[in-house]
Amino acid sequence: MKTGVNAGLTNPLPLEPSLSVYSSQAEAQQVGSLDAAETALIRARQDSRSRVLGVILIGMCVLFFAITVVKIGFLS
Amino acid sequence: MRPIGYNNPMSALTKHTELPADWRDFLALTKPRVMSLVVFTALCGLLAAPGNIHPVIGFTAILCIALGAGASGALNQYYEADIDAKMARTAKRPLPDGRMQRPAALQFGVGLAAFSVGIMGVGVNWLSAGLLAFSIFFYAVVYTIWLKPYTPQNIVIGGAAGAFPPMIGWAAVTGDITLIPVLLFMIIFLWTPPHFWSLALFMKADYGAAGIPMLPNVSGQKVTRNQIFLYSFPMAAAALAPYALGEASLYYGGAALLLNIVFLALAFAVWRNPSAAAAEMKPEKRLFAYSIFYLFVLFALFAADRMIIA
Repeated sequence: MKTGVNAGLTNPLPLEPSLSVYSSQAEAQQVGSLDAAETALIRARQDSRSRVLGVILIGMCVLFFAITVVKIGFLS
Repeated sequence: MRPIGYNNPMSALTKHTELPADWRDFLALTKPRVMSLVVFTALCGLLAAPGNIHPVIGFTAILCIALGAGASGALNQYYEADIDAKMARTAKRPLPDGRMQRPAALQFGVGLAAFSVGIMGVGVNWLSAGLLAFSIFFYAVVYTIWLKPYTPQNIVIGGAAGAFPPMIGWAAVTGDITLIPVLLFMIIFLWTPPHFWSLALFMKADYGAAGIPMLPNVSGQKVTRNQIFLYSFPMAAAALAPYALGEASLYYGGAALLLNIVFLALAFAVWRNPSAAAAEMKPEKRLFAYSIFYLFVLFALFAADRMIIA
């Protein structure tokens, strides 16, 4: 589903040629034209990486907390 | 230089977009199978050491050693992506297969190395952190960059990198290095040449295609078989040394002797095998498989023996 400035439009808003980073209009259209399968694939990858990173970060927080408790215990 | 990702079907799917690497690709970058042997030998070093270590600190030490091994694997794969693409055994790794961009592997490897050494230093002790840092440097730089592409003695000297984990495990508990961790180091160091050269014999064509100067490609199969057999003797002596020096019981000594007899018998079969074709290298394949079993059982026995004595 399209959101933002392109919401409700059948085609994306055309870029002002002088502002475009692409050398030609054809290249700009190719780069901008991710189909639904590609977008879903990229989103799925990003989601799974985010979930794994989240689990790792929580694990690290628990580990650092445990190390701190043990170290403080040793010092006292 | 061959572009990375040339044979990746996903690249064709997303011609104009870099597909973000999957978390499984990052995991594959750490060489999990190698990591399992590293973790196991480090755990044995940790368990064999005298004294007590808090379970949380012990877990942290093993985790840091595993992450350090993962960092070494990632940095190795970053540097060898082009070589890996030429070998059937390694062509499906994330970088040569195009599932990951090269800078991502470098950042992951460096980040993991810094993280593992830092946590080891702060959470465990700085001697084990220093040894871990040195072993990562040794594998990623000395072995991967300096030795592997230039000398057939690459795995002899480079074997030191894989021999550090039990020493690090020991240092994590005691904070020092004595004779026993040096013996554990020597066992793996002397075990590495017969282990890798038996693999190199039946993977000779692969290594040749990649231009890696492994001993069978440089000096021939006969010389390699001689070296495998010769290295097996000091390796067997190192495995028996803990018993001979009174650091392990008769049970360990007897079991190590049995394991060594089988190892030497298989090395002898390799030495006698005249075949040059990979398909007829059953003795080499048997020795390679047994060498992994040998190291696992020997270290498990040593750790169990030390724990029972303690």
